[in-house]
Amino acid sequence: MKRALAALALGLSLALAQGKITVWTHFGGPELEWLKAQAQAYEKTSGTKVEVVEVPFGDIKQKFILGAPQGQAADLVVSIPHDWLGEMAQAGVLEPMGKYVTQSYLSDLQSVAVEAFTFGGKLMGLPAFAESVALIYNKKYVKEPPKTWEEFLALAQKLTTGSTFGFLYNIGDPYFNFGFFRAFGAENVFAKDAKGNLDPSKLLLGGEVGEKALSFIKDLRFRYNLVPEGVDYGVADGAFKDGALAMIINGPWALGDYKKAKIDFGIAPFPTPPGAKNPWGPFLGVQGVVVNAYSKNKTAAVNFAKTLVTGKNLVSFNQAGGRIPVSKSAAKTLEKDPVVAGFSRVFALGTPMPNIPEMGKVWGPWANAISLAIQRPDSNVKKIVEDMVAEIKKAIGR
Amino acid sequence: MKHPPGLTGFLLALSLLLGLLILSTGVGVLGYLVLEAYFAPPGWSILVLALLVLVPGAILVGRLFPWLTDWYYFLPALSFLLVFTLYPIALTVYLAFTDYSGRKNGFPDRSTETRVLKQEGPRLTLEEPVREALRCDPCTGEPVEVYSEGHRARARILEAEGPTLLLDRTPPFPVEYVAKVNAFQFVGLKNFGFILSQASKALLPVFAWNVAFALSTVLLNAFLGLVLGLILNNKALKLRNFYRTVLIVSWALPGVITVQVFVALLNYNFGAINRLLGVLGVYPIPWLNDPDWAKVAILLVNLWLGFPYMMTATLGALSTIPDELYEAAKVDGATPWQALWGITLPLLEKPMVPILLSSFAFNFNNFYIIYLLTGGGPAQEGRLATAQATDILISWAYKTAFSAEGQSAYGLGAAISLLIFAITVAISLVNFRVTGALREVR
Repeated sequence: MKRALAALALGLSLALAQGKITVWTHFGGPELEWLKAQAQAYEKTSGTKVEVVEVPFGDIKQKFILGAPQGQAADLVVSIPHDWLGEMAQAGVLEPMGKYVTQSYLSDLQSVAVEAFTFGGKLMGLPAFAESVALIYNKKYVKEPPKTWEEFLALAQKLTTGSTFGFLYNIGDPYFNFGFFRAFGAENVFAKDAKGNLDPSKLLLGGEVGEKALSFIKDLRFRYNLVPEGVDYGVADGAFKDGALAMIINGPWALGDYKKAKIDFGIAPFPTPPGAKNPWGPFLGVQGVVVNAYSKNKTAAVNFAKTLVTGKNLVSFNQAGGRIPVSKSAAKTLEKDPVVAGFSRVFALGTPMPNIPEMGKVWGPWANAISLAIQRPDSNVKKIVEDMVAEIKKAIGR
Repeated sequence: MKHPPGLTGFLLALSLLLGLLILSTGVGVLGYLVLEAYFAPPGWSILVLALLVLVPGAILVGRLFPWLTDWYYFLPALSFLLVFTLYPIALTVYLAFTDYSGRKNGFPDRSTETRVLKQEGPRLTLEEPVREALRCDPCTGEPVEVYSEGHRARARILEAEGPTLLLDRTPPFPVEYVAKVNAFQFVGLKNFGFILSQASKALLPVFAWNVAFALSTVLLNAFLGLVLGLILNNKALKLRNFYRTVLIVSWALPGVITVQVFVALLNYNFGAINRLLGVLGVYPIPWLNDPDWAKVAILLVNLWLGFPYMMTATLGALSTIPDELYEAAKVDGATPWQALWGITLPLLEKPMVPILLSSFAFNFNNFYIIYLLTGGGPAQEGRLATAQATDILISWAYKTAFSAEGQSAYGLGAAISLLIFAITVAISLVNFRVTGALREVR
């Protein structure tokens, strides 16, 4: 018995010494193929076995936070959006990356990406690519993207016929709607304090800003008759893929499918909504690779993470799925790519989505307020905004 | 010694077995903790240590109480019960009184990781001022974790000044890093207070709809199931086996898929159902977009999912009614209608009532139909985002714990589930008392 146990222990420790790392990913299709190819290449050069496991996007954060301290989570995740960073870092499951990276690596990254992956003054992951929503138009219907709201409205209404739609988007989701809030005066969801950190006690979505933005979103449905009831992400995305939709607000993640459907598309910023004082500007999301703080094979995990985010590999990643790399050298190589160029212009208008954990308490009431506003033509926008602000403040104050 | 009779014997045997299991697990865990101070033992060493206690313990107890040895067949089942039922229940009760969450999880906050420059006994010098590096104010009493490659230890801060801090114990290894621990603590009844503070905007309306939903879905399903069961039971009906098979199809399909299909079918502008109604000249119905119609949609979809069960139950119960009763009724000159009201329905009552009650209890916590069909939505004015028009208690609990309140508010979620447990038990007790179902079954 004891001998068998000793042999078992020896076998286990040998297996560990040889090395194996697990990667969780939410990538699919060609991007997953890319990751698997990277894993194989890394296996060849380092001798460390890399196992790629697909985990649904929505499950990753919770599974990782719960599993990591028990040794039941992957050694690294490819990739997480930066707005999960605060919560995951505070839960203690992320390895701070500052001690592993060089200055030249950092200087090759766009500063907004480094900012997005910095929490509490520490770099908690390696940013890889950025994303935001933009106005994606089908060139079959739209020759030149509309520059002003009047052009946009005329075009969209003209193209809304029995068999085609002028403009649809996932109207119930705050992420797709933030651009309008920004246009009507919200710099971000929270204001910054004196030190430049987001201050969760200063919510910018309420008051006049919220009322105007919500009224505009409501008007898209009931006044301009563009986005009818029943439109959600699936409907809008499907219509664009079928070539029945001229313009959509969507992000780089959808482009692979649009290419596959042979849609000739272009990318532009949404025009400034009527009566707004600022230009439309979306949430900027940065996704990056994070390493498990409890990993048994940290060095291998960190090294693999670093190979994934080199400029060269990010270029090949862009070619696989069309995501926009945050590395300056990669962006330079891809300068001529119309998608990269189009999104780069949109990024300039956006602002990073907050990465503080308090943001988690905003999404629910915010989505609730939007769906209330677009439920009936006579919805009381002022009261809806007041209720939303009260609910968020109460949740954050707790 | 002979087996003690009746309940005493049962309880004695059960407590001896449970005691044995708990004792050996306790020794296993304790031994693991002791070993951990010297080297990093693998997780399964707990199991080995526990078995080292359990096997001799079982032999010893078997000598003392020879009658108990037959009960040892229960040990595997009991240990599963302990691990998968009793432990989670105990943990839920415990967590309901704490502020445990994804953030306050008892693990070190790695974003406060700070390098230790100098170490003299329990006094550490950090590379940054303690207050900023560990983000604590005041820092006295804060739990921290100190670690280096392969070692980790917990300690508390006794005092902090500038970049130096004094720990309450001397770490037994050279420390490289220190990080604050996100400790969770007892908060007493605060979680329950928070739930009750939402009573008018969440708890009460959600509870009312929950009861209405469970009650009407059971009655609707039972009514349709009963009618279909009675029709199919008629031996004069041709092709009745064919009808029976067809009618059971909706039960045979996985509900998760059916509900997703219904979401698409019920879409306001793009769903097949509204298009069909449009052909018939009916205005499109906002199935999933209107707070009231969404409730109707849920009841209808649940009817589609649930009536075959009731139909099968009715058919089964009908087959237990002896044909002689109907023959006697016929001889006495009763009409089929009188036979239905006088014989069939009264005789169906006894087997059906427990089925209806268990169906009510199941639907009371029927999370998946709500979550998949409407996600609790649509939004309703004057309500919280976590308690929308079709949210039932369990989906409200899920949203409160996992999508609002800092996403992983397990303490709060545990408190809500305790509350739901109490409500379900209360309703079941009332049900059993009123219908006398328990007495009948006995």
